[in-house]
Amino acid sequence: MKKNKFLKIACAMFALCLITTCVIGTTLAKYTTGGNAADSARIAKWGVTLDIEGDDMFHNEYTGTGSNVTVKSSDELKLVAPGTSGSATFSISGTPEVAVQIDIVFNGVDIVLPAGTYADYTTEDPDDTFTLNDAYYPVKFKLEQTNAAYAVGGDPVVMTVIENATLAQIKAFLSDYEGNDGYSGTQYAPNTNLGSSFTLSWEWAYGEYAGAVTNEDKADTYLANLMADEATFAETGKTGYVLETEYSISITVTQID
Amino acid sequence: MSKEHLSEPKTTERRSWVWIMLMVNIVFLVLLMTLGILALRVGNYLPEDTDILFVVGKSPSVEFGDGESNSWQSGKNVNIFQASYVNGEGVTTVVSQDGTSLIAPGTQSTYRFSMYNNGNMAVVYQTDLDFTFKIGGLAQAQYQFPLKVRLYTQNGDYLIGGESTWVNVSEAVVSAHVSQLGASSFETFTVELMWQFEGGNDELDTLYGDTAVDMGVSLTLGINTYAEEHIDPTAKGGTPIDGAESQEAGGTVRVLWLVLLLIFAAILVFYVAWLMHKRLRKW
Repeated sequence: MKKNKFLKIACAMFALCLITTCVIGTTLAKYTTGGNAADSARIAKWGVTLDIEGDDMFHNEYTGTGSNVTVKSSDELKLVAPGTSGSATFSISGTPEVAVQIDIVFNGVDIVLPAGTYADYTTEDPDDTFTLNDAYYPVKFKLEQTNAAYAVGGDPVVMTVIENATLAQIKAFLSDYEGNDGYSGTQYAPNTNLGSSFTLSWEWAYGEYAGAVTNEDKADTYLANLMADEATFAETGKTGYVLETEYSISITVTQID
Repeated sequence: MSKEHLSEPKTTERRSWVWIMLMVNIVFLVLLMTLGILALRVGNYLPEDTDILFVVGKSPSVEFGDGESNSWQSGKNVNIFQASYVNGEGVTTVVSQDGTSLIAPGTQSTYRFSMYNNGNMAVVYQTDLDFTFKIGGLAQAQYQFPLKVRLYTQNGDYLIGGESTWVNVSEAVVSAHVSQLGASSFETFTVELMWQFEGGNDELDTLYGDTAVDMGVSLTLGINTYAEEHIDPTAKGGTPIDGAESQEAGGTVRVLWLVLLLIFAAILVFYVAWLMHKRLRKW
């Protein structure tokens, strides 16, 4: 029994030595260090805005001099007539910090009476006719541009880009133009002031026509009769005429990679 | 006279001897441990070539830096982002209006930093990234931002992302890398950030661009590293620094000292026990 007692004490002391050593070992100070680095960046500015106010280029009634209504739709639908006119404005603004490309997609349908010989509804003789040597487009369009890039230190400059044109010519112009203020497909460097506005205006001349077609009054009357009662006034074999005009424009500004 | 009366004084005397020997043993152990602690403490402040009781002084030295400066300076930003970017065709596609760093769809930034262990003992280190996203100067706790990141070592081991995979910054903040760096060695890391041009969410990209005009939107990247001495000062890791002199590993004898302490203590304890047992047998 005495042997076991002292062996137990010896073992207990050995265990105490082990425990003490572990505690001592963990309390020894150790080397530590750390490092930190940081950097910040802000998001590049975009801020490009497009303002297209084209829904009111045509109306369902028009006033002449003063406030007299001279043309009024019978069914509230929009219409055009000799002596009427209208316009729409499209604008781009912003100075993005990235390179961009501007694309303009324009489509339009013109009112047209193809070249040919037609019944003259302006006389009482039903056998009277008139001849158009060329296709007759009664509604003429004009495109103007105001570019803020030219407004440094002064007023914006309004430039007539194309006038006395059909919508088809406007479309071709916007698709192919590569001037300094270039349109579709033109790319701009970062921080370029894109501020620019376009005004598309139209007019159906009253009493005067700038084209080479004569008998414009007879052609205007012919078109109006067709619009009123196509079944009655249409002539056999006379096709290709268009009695409605419309247009659409889509402007896209896209960042370039 | 009976034997019982003669045996009582001897029992008392024997017990006294036991307690005396126990106290002596405890004192020897305490002295031994104290001597070891003193040896290590003193050894840390002595020149490297000074040997006392086979103790080698620890000479820790860990630095962090990048290619522009050898060390990161507290409170000073490093150059991770840029004020302008050029595309693959050499055309400048993004330019800051005020010269401050910025990012945009299609931009990519690369930053390399290194950890240098110039000391004579290995270290265990940890590296992680954190991002702070602000709108109008206010930090956003939760956000969806199309910036992606990946982090890899000079050996091509990816710590965040992969060779063909990127991790969104909002998911990379919890990634931490733990590894070891040997004495006189270094490790270089590369962090890459990318705002994908065709990320699939043009509306979100445009929204951030417009918000940047109105309120300002910013992102801060933080790189955090922490190192502490390795339990094994001779552990290997990283790339050896060219020209570094081979040094004896510091603190090595700490492990050796522990082993010697255990052995000596065991010998002392069992020797005393054997003596006591022998004496008691005589009695």
